[in-house]
Amino acid sequence: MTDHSDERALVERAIAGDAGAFGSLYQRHVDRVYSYIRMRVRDVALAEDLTQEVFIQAMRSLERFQWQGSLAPWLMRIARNIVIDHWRRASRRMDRTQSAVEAAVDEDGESSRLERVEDESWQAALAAAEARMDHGRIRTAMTQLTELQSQVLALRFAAGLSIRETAVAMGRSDGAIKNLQHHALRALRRLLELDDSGSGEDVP
Amino acid sequence: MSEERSTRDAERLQAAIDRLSAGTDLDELRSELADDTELPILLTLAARSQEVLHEPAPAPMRARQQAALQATFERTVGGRRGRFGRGLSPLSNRPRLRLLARLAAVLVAIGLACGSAVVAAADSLPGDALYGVKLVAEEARLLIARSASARAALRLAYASERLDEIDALIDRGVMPPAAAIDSLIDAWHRAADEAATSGSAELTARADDEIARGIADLRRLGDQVDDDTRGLIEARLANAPLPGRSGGNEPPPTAVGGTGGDAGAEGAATALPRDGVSQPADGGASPEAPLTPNPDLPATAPASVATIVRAALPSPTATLPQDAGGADRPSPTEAPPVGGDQPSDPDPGPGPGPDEPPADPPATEPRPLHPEGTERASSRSTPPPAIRPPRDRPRPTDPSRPLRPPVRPGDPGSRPPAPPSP
Repeated sequence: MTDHSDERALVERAIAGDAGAFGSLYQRHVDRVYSYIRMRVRDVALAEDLTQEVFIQAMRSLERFQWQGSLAPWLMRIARNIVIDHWRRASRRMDRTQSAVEAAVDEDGESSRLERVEDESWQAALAAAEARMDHGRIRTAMTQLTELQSQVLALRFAAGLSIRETAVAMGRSDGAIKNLQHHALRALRRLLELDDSGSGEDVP
Repeated sequence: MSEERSTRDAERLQAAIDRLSAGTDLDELRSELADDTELPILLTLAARSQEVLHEPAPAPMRARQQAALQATFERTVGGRRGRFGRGLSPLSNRPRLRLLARLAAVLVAIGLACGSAVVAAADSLPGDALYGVKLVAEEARLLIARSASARAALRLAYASERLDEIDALIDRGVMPPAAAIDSLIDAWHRAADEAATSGSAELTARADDEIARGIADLRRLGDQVDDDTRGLIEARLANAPLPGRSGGNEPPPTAVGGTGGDAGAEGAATALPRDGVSQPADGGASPEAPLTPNPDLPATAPASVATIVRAALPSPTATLPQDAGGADRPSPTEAPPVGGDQPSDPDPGPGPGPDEPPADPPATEPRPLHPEGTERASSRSTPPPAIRPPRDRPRPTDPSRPLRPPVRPGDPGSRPPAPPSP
């Protein structure tokens, strides 16, 4: 984890006008911002451009930043807004209020899909599922999550934020983030298995 | 799945993820979760997602963006603070960075011809994500301008743009921050200096004229803003250079705004950067002219804005203006909020100190031909959020509103890191 105490010093120096300090902050956080954006927009060149916008916005807003232990959640919030703005401008419907998977997941009763194969040992089933978790499929499946699910997985796994940091970035409680993470992973799993279930290549 | 079970599962899953991050073996954790059909898979998926999704930024991108961002930082945030004496050493003394900045600016200039993000940025306002790009593009145009008069024209246009941005912000319902007002007044300073440097009397007269109009327009915007902002505008204007009288021969009417109106009506002959709409349809009289004479204004007409600017700035190289006896003039130490210590120099340097490289804008778009840029440009299908009325539309103003006293005790407090006035 980053050493936050010297990050605070960097932030203060940047606010005071030290460009080198701002550059250091960039180096510390660019990977997570880039990973986050890359996951959500997929196109490399666009991700690079939007990453720069995040830092430009951060530069302007730095004066208003209140130190609360870490720069990451604040920065990721900016990143989130910039991605949202981009999609709005591009009139793309990334924001699905209900994905097909959500519809398929009945929150109070549907048994786990895995129970279809419950006569196999769970290890075999696990291995089968794992085989479907290749990088390409995961990336594709990610794009079909709902906005909220995508958000939490992007912050947690792409940007590498902790539960606490993710909670701050999304303005929710720790418990809510854990729940969201859980549901998002479940949805992702269903997407991956649906992909193979015989419904063909095009998952709705 | 019941809600309690779901929450419990969520907790178990996160606990396992934590332990995985701490180094516990994945298989071991999966065994521990084996009582559930799903959790082992979800844990594996979490681990796999982390691998897939964490993608470090490519090294060339990092280097390019860091340089660009630091240059922008110096120019905007850092530069402004440096100007007010926080003792930051400008990048100007590092020749390699100057070259880099120049190169970057030229690349951006090339990008101008191809549109891309520069087009997308064209309507952005202070605070927008792309506003930095817009400013960089402006600086790049300055860099490739071939003559002082071309630069002067550009600078006048930029000042006009700053004013339009303020107008647009107000239309959006956003009070323009002090920085935006400062940028505008700074732009007027620079335009005046550039015009004076060019040596062209026509340009100087045009600059005076436009600045005068601009000041009048800015005053008029005071109607649409809140009290603090209005006070801020008045304070800044009171410390700003006086608008020139076109021709320089007329005795000044009472106050700044009035001059603008009159000069505008008479100065209609000079070309306007905008679409030639002649300004005061409000007739020859100064529409919003406060009638109270400003005691700090000189009694006689100064020669030009640029002269006043130089006189007002606390620069060691500034000479007293050669115009006739203005007995009172605004104290030179009042000018700095925008002018800083920038003596007029032939080098149209933006940013902090006189040694600043001609342009230190970052290369935000060294990929001018990138198809992605085109996508973004064309994706701006929606017009900018606010419809900006032409600046010079007549606006009824209450002429009885008195001019605030020119010396105000400090800022209205809208700028948290208030720079100390030199």
